[in-house]
Amino acid sequence: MDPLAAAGPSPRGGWHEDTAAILVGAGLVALALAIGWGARPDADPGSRKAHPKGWPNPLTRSIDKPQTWESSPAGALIDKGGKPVTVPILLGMTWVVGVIVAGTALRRKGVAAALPGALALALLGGLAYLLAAQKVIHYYNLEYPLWALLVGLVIGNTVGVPRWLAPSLQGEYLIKTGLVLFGAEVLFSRLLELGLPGLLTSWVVTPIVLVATYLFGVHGLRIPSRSLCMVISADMSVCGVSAAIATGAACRARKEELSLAIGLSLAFTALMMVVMPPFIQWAGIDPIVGGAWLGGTIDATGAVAAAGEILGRDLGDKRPAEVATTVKMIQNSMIGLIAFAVAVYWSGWVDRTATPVRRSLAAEAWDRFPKFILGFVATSIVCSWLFTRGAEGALWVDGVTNGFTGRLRGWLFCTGFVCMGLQTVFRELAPVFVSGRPLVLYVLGQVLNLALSLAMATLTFGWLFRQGGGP
Amino acid sequence: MAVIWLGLLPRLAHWPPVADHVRRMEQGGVNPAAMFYTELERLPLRPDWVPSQIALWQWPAAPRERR
Repeated sequence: MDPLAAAGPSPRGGWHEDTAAILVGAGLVALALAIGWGARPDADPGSRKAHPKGWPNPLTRSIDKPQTWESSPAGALIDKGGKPVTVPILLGMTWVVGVIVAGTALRRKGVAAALPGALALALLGGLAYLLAAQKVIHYYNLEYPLWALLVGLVIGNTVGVPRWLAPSLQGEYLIKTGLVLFGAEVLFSRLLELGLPGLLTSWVVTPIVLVATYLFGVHGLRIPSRSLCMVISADMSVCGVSAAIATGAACRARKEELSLAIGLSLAFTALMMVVMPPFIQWAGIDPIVGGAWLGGTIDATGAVAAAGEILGRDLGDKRPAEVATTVKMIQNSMIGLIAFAVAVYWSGWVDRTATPVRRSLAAEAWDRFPKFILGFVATSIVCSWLFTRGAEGALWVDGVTNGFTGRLRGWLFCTGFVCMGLQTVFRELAPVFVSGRPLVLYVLGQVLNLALSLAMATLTFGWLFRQGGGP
Repeated sequence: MAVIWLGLLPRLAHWPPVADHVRRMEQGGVNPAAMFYTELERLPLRPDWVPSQIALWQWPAAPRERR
């Protein structure tokens, strides 16, 4: 079964998979908000200086992930402050088990049958996180989805998937629930942080590159799968893996297509992170324009921060890193709208042309629409609204997302990718790889992205921003 | 996998260009593996030096406290 495809109704009349994802995801966000509000600090509740990452949320202590380590994996159990994190890591796995059990129960499937597999999947998710936390891997932005897929692929294609694990292989449900949680981090108000220059750099270039790359893949390169074109276009033009996950779910991409898009994105991200800062210096590009260019072109958010840091450190200037991460954050904040637009386009147009219309267009489109996207957008709207309700609201939301929902979302994605790897057969991946056209699509799309982003960054940060006074 | 993660990668971490990159990132408090801005060590907030007249949204209460 395709992990990102909508599951059919449960034979025993349980909730649909998308509904279960919304109920569990939104319920967890509501729980974190309620606990965060109950534990709001008495002193300086509206001070960002006192609470740089938002109000401390008690749920934060119930979840963590393996920390970076160099030569001994035991180092993954100690955080930077020397504090042991074994218990929060184990609790993180327990949250994963809880989400799988809750989803299984809501869909009226056998909870007892799913429990052993859920435990095993949580452990495999922990293993993938451990692999991703090795220092070289971590600092070169080879993110956990790659290793989660690898762990699943190796097991699934060598020893095979044991029968007792099958009832727990709910990769699509885990990713959808993770996306509903993810909505709490996608704050529309963040879009306005850098003003007009930031908006133009992100909002004008990104949709143009997204649409142009997608159309070129479909009509120019004649790649048979539209969903593959969309996932590659989105991860390249928006923000890497997170955009690939969101749009992949919205357009029901196949698991091997999502795996390929993520692999391409991570490979080019590591390359661009290392190559672009020295190129900007060599070419004599203005540091702020260079920072905006980094933010608009490098796929992954962490890699943008790293490249901005390299550029700023070499120039002795912190502004490139600030502009780079803020431009990237604006792009990050577009995920909700883009995923929603892709879901509407897919259900109303792409799928419609593939199957004959039996009822009204709206009814057909609604049937095909991936409903969990509504949960994703709803948590985003609610948290964006709370975020703009004054300084306290912003710190409340930041505390929830930084401390709890963000970490749980990571665990759910990680375990979801393990499931995808377990269900993928190597020979299914081969036809996608051998044609070479996805690579050509990515490279040509990235060239367009580089050119347009540089032009817009020069126009906005090199000219409009200067009009505003400059630093 | 054990050979790569327990043998090759730890050695690679000591290779000067890689060690230099890792040191820079650690000193700068950068998390290059962040998938989304909320995972960054420092939340990207509109820098103080961006003139307020071109910013479309401002921190609700205490803009000077942002850093």
